[in-house]
Amino acid sequence: MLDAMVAGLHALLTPQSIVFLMIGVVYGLIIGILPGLGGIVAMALLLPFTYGYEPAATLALLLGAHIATIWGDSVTSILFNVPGAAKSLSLVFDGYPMTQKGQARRALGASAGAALLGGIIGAVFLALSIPLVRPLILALGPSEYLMMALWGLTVIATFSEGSLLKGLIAACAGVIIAFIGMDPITATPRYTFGSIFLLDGISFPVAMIGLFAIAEMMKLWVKGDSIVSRALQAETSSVLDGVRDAFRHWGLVFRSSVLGLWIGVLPGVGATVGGIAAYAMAVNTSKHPERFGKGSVEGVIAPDATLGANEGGGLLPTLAFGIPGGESMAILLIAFIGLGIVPGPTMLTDHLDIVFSLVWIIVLASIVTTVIGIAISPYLARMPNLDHTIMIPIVLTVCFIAAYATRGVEGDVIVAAAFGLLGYLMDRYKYSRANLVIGMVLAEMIERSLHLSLSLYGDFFIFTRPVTFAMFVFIVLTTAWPFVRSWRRKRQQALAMDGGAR
Amino acid sequence: MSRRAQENIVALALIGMFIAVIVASMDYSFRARMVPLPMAVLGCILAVIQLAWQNLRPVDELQLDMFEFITGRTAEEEPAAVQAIIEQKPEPTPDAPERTALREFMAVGVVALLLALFFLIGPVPATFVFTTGYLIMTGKHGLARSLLYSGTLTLILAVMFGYVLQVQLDRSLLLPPLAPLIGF
Repeated sequence: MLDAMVAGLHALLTPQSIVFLMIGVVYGLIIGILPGLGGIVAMALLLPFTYGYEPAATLALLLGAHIATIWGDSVTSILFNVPGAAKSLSLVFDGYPMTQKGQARRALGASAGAALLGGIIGAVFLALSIPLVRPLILALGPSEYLMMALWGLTVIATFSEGSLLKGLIAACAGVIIAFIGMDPITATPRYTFGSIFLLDGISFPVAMIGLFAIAEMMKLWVKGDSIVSRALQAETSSVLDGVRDAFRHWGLVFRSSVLGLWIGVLPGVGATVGGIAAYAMAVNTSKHPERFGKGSVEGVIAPDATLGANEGGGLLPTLAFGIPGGESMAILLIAFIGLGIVPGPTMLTDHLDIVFSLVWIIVLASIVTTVIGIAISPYLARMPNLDHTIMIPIVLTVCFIAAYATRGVEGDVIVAAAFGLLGYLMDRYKYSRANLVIGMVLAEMIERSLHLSLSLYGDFFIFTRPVTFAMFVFIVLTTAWPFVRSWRRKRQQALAMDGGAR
Repeated sequence: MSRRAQENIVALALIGMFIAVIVASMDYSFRARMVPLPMAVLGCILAVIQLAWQNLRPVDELQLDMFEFITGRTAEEEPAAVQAIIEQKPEPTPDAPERTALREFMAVGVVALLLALFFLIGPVPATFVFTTGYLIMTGKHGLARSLLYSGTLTLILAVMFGYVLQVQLDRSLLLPPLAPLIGF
């Protein structure tokens, strides 16, 4: 284990990895500061650039960009009252009032400091949990992995925005889309309708670019927001004041980080509601709750620490079980597959050094993001406006060229555009895009595990293998339990109201 | 068209898609359709239930209150500051246009236009033409600034993809036939 930790760090200390990490962080900060784009878009656009390089450098680029977008998203929430991404919505409520009081630098410093501490706590958690999870992973067989994949799909559907039914429908659609192309087991062309282009299937990176980047640009066009302006205030604070605040409220940072870890580990639980829950926890535990909503630094620290720790938690099911915790983890999985690395048991046995490289990347990217963030915060605090109009043509053209560059096939550009339209419609009618993506990623695992289970254990393997059966029951319970609890609570409230009326 | 009618059309389209997958799967061997067929059947059943549910029952019955799930408390039990943030919705800027079906079709049109340019004149010229035209049409950037931004973007993309990634960017439908006419 110690050897793997050292090897993981050693792999990152090459010039290529360091340069890629820096590029990823700077790129992520820029994407994060632009409202409407988030970590998922940043990573989707980077995928074509990841082929042919060392695994550690590739992962440094992708994960570094993703971690940097977390703080970048906070910047627009704090400075312009416009959430950089949905998950930074909670920062608007106290971050912007701080800016209005001339404490923008302090808010940005606190945000950077909290994100750093949260990121480090998340990385430590990931490093500590690997030796605990490893024996469990090695004991699982194909039938257990099948149940794990199905559990991932149902849990994500349960926790996704929109209804459970819509989430499951999106997951089923994602699984079917993944089967377009040549079946590797039976060499049967499936759902190709005679098209040679579709024999190779739908490229994941191209689908991601369409679903998230192109769809977001279509949303931005429809929304039509243009330049966001603000009146500059005389600054009465410094960035270091905010960083000191983050360290001074270490208890709040720790509690918020633990919340972020838990949310990250559970597949499908969005960071958006995590940020709000962290804010609620800060209000309920603060000595001065009346200050919240009027520019309390605790209202900035809590959500940022949660978002920072979320990454470490989200990597655990992704690396250990091959079940992505969200869209960004799905992209990371695709990158792994492109690098010839399969998450799961082999990840924790043959590629443990890469796992620890990821841990170190989270730490280093958090530090680099904070250092750069602190350095540029004084200048960001003086930004008078933000121009949305310039984003759409830039991102769209990059998307199309990136889609073409993935395989050098013109048809991929049409696929990207089609998925862009699909992503827009899914967002419009509240069918979870995350579920579709995760269905696409888990489809191969489901099919492979099912074939192996039937071959090894027979047709009734669900009932003959106790662990598999227990996991099957667990799937049913975890899918139904939140609704049962909600139904019981509503029934209690209705009974209480009836009792009060009498 | 009402929101419910739109949702019904989407659900019907999904049912149609799943039925098409079921029909297509019948041509495959047992092993080839072992997973896709049950998934399509499940998806079809779920889509039918969704169609029925959204017309007969409140939609939020199948929606999990994530805040309550994580904190163990309902929004009503929270202090006013937290309730306000839960109810807060991002406000559009004052000069933002109204969201209409026309704007949605225009969004599709913008993507389709870039797609057409991409195939007709190639990725690099399409980038320059599309970006210049878009920035000028917004009315917020003059010709000189639009050309500067577009030129810079085109150069960066050409270097990144064409030189660094060695991607063949000289693909187009119109330029090869026109090349002899313009001296290439």
